[in-house]
Amino acid sequence: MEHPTSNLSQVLTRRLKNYNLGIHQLFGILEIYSIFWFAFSLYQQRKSKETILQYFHGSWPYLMAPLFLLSLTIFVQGLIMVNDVKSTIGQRPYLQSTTIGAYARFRQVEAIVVYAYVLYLGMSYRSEYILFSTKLTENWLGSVVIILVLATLKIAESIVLLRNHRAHLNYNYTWNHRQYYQMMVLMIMTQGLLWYGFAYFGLQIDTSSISNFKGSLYTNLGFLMGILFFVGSVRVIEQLISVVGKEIT
Amino acid sequence: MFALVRNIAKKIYIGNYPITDMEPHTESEKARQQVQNIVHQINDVKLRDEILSLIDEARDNNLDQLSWNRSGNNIEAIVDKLLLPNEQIIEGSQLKLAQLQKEYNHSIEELRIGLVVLRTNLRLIFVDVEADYIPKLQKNHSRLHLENSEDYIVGHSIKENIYFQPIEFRNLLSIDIDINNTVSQEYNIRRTRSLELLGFVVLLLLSALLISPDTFWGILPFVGGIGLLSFLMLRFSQIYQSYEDNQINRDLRLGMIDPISMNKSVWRLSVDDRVTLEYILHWTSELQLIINQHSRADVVPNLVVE
Repeated sequence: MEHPTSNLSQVLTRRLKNYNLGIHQLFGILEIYSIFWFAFSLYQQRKSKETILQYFHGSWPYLMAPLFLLSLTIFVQGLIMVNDVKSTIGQRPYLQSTTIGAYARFRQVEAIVVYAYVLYLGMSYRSEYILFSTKLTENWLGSVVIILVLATLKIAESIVLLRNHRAHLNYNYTWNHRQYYQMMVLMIMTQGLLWYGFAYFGLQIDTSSISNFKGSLYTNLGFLMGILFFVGSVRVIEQLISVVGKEIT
Repeated sequence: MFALVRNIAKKIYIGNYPITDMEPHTESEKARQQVQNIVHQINDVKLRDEILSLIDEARDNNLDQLSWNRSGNNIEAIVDKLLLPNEQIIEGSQLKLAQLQKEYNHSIEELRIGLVVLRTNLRLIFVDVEADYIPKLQKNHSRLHLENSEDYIVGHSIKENIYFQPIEFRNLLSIDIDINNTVSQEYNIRRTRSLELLGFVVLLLLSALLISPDTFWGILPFVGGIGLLSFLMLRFSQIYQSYEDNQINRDLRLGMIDPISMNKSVWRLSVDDRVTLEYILHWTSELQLIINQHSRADVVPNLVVE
């Protein structure tokens, strides 16, 4: 058996020929783009020195649009994976396990969580009062809850992948194959932890008093922005690993 | 261990190659599979590595012992020592066989798998070297061990069998060739159901409309656009996977006088798939020439094989 990464151009050519994988990766790139867009929108908001609600009124797409896009791209990826699992059981060793099926379903739930987040922000914007509290500063509480769910999902995804890896740990696999799994698990786990960080700093905004609200908001938005850039970067690495690190056919 | 379980790369066998380059035997494959199955169940990486290195150590000891048993001779040296004084192996004339069936009176008397035919200036020599590398790993179910302990028996054994059978050219009567090719290809074409996706896109757009008409019109170009694009991409029929099947059977039938029983017999030589047809034809034509020069079929007419 040829070593999976022995010839990068051969691997890339083979992978580009795989139509489903092409779409999967296209949407992976769009997902990364929307995360960066979301981070950039937080940066713009911080720069404008307006409150989130004021900012929302003025420039709606900067917070809402990237989240809509994020939700859609994650959903398509989950859908492709679910279809992949359905049609390739027994054909690809690493997809035989239903744990990968669970991973695909988690991706779809992740999309719905992001959708819940966008809906929450949207409804807050529409009613001009916050679902959990009337105070603007406590706007984040709902977001924190949703993002905590998202973070937990990400951790669950990595656990599912790890279990799958253990179940199929076979000494016929090359070292790179095992390394690929380890890297993927590490990347997804990191994303989970980063989303927890996002929720934590969001909570800091929530608990800050009105008097020092602005300063605290700007500081924390900076943190949130930074974390989002990190999430995006980790996703980039994950995509790169998934392109070069494993053999599909 | 890793080197042993790795699949053997696809090679083209023509001319010269080491005669010890044999396929792994079924028994070794089975043993390796069993070891792998148990190894997968061991979660402790350190213990797993320790077990694998113990198997490697046992195998190295086996190899040392084997070399001692053969008085330090390797397979090539053993074959060399069995040649006649004036006999020389003709370079580039080896033929790799998948199997050899010896037929006497239309019934199979002997079957050997994976061997090599060497041609010398005097004889055809069939060499079969079977070396089974059998790793052993089993859970020790002795009652004495503690409840929480993991107890394994680890080992390795090698079973070697060297078969050497020369056929003098004068005992060869005839040769024929039987080529069967079966080539097939299948595609798996699939269209993904994308109603789920369509539903999700509509949900996103309706939610945007619920938030504000501005939001709806704002996100419509990209959510709608990307949604439509992915919908079309998934709807597009795709060849998902293709399967190829290529079965090649190239059998040579050698009619001969069996050197041991002195009876007429037919040896069916199934040539390994990786030997090119061109080489087989070349090898056969050379052997035909030799048979014509040396065969004693003309002096023993009743021995002509059907």
